[in-house]
Amino acid sequence: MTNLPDITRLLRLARNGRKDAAIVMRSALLADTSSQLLAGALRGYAAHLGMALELFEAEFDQIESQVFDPASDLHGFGPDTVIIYLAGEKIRDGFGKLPVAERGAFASRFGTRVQALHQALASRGYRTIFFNLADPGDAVFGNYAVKVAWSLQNQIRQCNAELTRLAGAADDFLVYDLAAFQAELGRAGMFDPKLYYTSKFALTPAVIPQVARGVVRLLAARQGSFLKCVILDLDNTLWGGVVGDDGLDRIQIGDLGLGPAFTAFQSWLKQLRDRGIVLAVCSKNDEANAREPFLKHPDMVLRLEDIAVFLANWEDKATNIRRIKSIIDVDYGAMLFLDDNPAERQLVRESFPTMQVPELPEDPAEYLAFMTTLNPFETASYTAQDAQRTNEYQTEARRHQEREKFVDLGDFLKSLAMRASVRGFLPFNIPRVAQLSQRSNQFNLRTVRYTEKQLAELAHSPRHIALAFELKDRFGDNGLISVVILEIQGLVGFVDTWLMSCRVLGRGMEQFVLNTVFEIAAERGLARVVGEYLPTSKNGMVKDHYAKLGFQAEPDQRWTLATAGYVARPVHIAREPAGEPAAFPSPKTN
Amino acid sequence: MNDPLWNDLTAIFREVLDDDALTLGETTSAKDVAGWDSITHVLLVVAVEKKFRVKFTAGEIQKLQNVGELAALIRRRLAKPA
Repeated sequence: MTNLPDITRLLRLARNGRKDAAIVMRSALLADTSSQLLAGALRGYAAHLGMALELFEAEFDQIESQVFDPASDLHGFGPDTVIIYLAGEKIRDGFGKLPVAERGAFASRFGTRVQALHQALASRGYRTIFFNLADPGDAVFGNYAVKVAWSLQNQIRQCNAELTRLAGAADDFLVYDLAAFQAELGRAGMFDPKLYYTSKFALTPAVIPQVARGVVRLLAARQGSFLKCVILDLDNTLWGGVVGDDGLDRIQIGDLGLGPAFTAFQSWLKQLRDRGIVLAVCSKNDEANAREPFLKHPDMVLRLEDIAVFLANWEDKATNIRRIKSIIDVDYGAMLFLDDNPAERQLVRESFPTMQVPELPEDPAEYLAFMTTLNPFETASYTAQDAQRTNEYQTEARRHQEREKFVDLGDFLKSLAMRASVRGFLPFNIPRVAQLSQRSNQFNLRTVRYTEKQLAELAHSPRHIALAFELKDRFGDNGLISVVILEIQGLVGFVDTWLMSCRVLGRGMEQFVLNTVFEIAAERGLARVVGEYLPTSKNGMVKDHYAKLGFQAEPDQRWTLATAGYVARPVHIAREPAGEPAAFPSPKTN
Repeated sequence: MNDPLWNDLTAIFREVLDDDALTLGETTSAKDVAGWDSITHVLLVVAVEKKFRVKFTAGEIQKLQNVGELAALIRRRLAKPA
């Protein structure tokens, strides 16, 4: 894990900035206390991760005027995301000034205020991140406060419930959970009354780097930078003891020995798996021994069907991790490696410098607490398809085995019996298209990120052709795996977006997409299709994409190909008749 | 000046204000030093509290006029903890 720089170092990083950053985020920070340190730390932590954060800071306590005044500096700046931090301490200090009759309605008014802010930001296409409220302390009623509707204690908690409710109802509304951070850290560690009353700092400089890390991770998750896969060791990581030596009935899981700690750890991993984090096993073990607990031990929480790729053998872990990557195909930087053995961790760290390799505590009883404190799994979205990911990779592992049976690639592809469908952007597929747009880093020609709202607008734009591709084969459904957006510029179709899930590389899907694009371009009377490759630190794999597809190079990294004389590329993918051609977006004539 | 306390203070100021050539005198104050503003002032106070394991009061922080006063305050606090 990368160490967290202190506030002074973060401010220095912020000053120096990152000019070469592949990921550039544009945000605004609005607060009702002094926010300069937090702003500097946000910029600094982004730079620490190799990203650039362009951050607009308002003078403190200017939240409403910045948001509601159409001519404000905030709107002049035009952020992607607006971060709003209202301090619980400030609410506490003003609470006594409210008439008692109004105190009981504080949280509902707070909810109205938050909702109005969010709606104003959403109407401009900005995303909102709200800090929820740390408990500022009450001490007016003691524990009886819980029973009194108008106590500060109750109202603060209800404010957080309001935030939870509002965020749950909107995709573009996220919450930074400052209350959870306070529970972790304690009030005394994060709030210094002296700094608050002399300088309006509601967070101590000591904790600001941790808060900045959490917020930047939320921002970065939107850019596709987040963890997708956990690679697990078995002996003394998922259970106590060594299954090969101790035997199935002597490993510690369930009630035996330290079993309850391992059960709790597995239960947490199971929840990760259920929300779409892919679990893979990489263990130095005899394969039959390694599988036995998953199949036979009654107290195992994780079962074989929870593991996307299961590798137990005597080869070194770096080799096995490369094999896992060939199946799961996410960046090494999107993987987290859990192993009780420091030597294995070191080897993996050296082999894959971008991989997250937490220094697990020596005592297994501490594993879960350690990981919850580390809190490494941010995401900016969640769809039901995420939860299917394990099944998809299990299917992919079967495809890999199948591939090894064939000498000729064409024979293999034929044997897959692939069918693809082509659709426009429709309400049912826009969430998945948005997710791909935000997450795809490798097979992504221009890395333009779109929100659901923007995609819905593109779907109806007469100047755009929006295409979403799904692929099935005899092993299963790969789902929506490729997206193309053409912008019509006179007689030219400019490829604004072409991205694809790397899971379906090497299947001829690019050629299928190209055929579809040219078919539609010809129908629409376009003379040529022009593509562009915008390099980032992650999309080198598509550097030669257009050259490989027969486009001719033009200046400025642009590539062109005429529709006249286009010969359909040979593919082993059949077009699914369903939804075609009627589902193609038709141009509006008005 | 070869005074351990003064050397520590100089190191803190250099680190926080990101200026390796910074030298401090008894009468050095915020207006003499680039980057010493209300924000870095807070960082200086916090860093000094941490380094010398002392706590200042809100009133003391607000009254500080220059580095000499800060050094004197640290010495008083070290001699007789609040």
